[in-house]
Amino acid sequence: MTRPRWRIILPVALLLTVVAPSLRLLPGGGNFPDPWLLLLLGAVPLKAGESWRFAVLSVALLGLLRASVSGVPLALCWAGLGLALVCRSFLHRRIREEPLLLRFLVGVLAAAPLEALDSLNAHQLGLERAWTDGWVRIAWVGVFWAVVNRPARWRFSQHPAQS
Amino acid sequence: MFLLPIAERHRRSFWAATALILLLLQGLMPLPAVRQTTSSAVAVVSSIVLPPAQALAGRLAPARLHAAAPDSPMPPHLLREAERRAGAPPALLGAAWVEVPVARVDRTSHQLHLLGGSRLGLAPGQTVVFGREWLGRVVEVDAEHSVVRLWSAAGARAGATLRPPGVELRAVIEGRGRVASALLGWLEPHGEPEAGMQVYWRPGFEDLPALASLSLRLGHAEQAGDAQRGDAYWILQGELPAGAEGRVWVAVGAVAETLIAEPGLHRARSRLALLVDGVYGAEVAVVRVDSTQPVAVIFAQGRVAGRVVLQRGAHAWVRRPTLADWSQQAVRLSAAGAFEEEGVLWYSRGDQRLPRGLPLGRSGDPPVGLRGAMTALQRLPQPALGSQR
Repeated sequence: MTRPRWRIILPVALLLTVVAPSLRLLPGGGNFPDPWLLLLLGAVPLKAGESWRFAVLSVALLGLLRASVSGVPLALCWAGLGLALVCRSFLHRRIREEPLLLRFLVGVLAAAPLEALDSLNAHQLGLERAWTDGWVRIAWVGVFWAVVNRPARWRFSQHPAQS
Repeated sequence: MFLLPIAERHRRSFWAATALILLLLQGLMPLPAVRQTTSSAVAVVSSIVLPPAQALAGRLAPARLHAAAPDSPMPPHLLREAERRAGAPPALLGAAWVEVPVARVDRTSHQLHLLGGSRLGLAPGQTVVFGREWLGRVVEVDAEHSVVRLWSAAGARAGATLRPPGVELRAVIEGRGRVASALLGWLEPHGEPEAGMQVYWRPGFEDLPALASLSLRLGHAEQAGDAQRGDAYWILQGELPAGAEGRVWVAVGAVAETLIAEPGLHRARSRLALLVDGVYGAEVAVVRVDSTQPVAVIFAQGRVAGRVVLQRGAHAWVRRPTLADWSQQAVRLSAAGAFEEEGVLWYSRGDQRLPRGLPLGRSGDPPVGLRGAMTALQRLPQPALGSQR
């Protein structure tokens, strides 16, 4: 996965932040996956060790934008997004990427910490959330990761260096 | 492919783990100073992002989020009037009743924290009543606040009288706090009480003589223990009247200029900033408050439209509760304004932040929308007089 430039990520992140609350108003909007998490997983390369500054800055930016339109504290946004990257990196090194189910599982486990922290915060604030919302959101992230992280030879277009 | 040296990888893993642990700790058990700093940073971004987000969300929002209050208005001061109707005691010769709002009911230590003190003429030892119910005595006072020890508090003693037919039995009650009902002991031997019999308060030698003529009630007598084994004893059953959670009356010999202390309220104008939360959806909205003071509720269309669950600078995150969500924090009145457990009119019970007596709605009403001119409200903070006991 090549690293997108900031001039792409920044406007996309801002646009997502403006649109995300409206998405929750759509029918079934409570089940939509977390847009900032999807952007983070899509934008930060798997080999985060090569670009850890980019990963840290992405978590910082997306966490800040997420906290600005939600009742989740900034620290929990950063922790949830950071844990998502750590989980993904940890699991990805230990599995084969060909089976769809395993890639789905990586996405699910990457999304789980953020969802758990959101639920914990909702409980602290006295909010009631349908328990299905969280599971469906996590499953969507799993689907997203299973599709986005296809093995290189399955992709329609390949980087010249890989061909 | 470039691979990091193992030492470098471990170093980064260590710092990543440390940072995540610290963030988790701060998120779950926040340090106030750090939280304030991060909230300020987030508030700056919110002020940029929220207007376009609201412009978009406003077009998509379902009608229920903009719902107007039903046509049937709720009288704003009905609870206060009901408390006064039920709680104002008969006039007293040689003293005056001072009406004092209750800040907090401490059900652990059986104490009432009042929003009035020595400036109103309150002093330790004075009698506190609600209607014809004797509640206890003032035990601690400062200029603006006082603490009342209820008769049911552990160790509290008071004189009592029972009135079987043709005789008057004197007794002493001793509170046992949370452990059990108050004991009705030292009964005079020339008569026998009956279960369910009314128990009246008996003034002591320090009390105003005029209080004796009021026949102030304490509760009713019940027998406990096993009479066949000879270890039966009498207890006093009684509960704090619903209205006494709002205001009580204190018998005062020397009065101040005013006989009523009204609780202070912080009010600030507010307006809708975002109809829906980006993570939690339509259950939560964001309101911009023209003040950085903490606020507890948002008042719109003559009712409480939302409860503030989080505040970052001028932005308050507001939950839209249904009437059922208020059930533990509401006082219910009948349409005629009497206290009723199944009353149709719901008013806020009040706590340290939430003002008492705010209209919440009528049974069956949907939540009102956050629209029009809104006011953010909170009770002014109270000092912790007597809270350490």
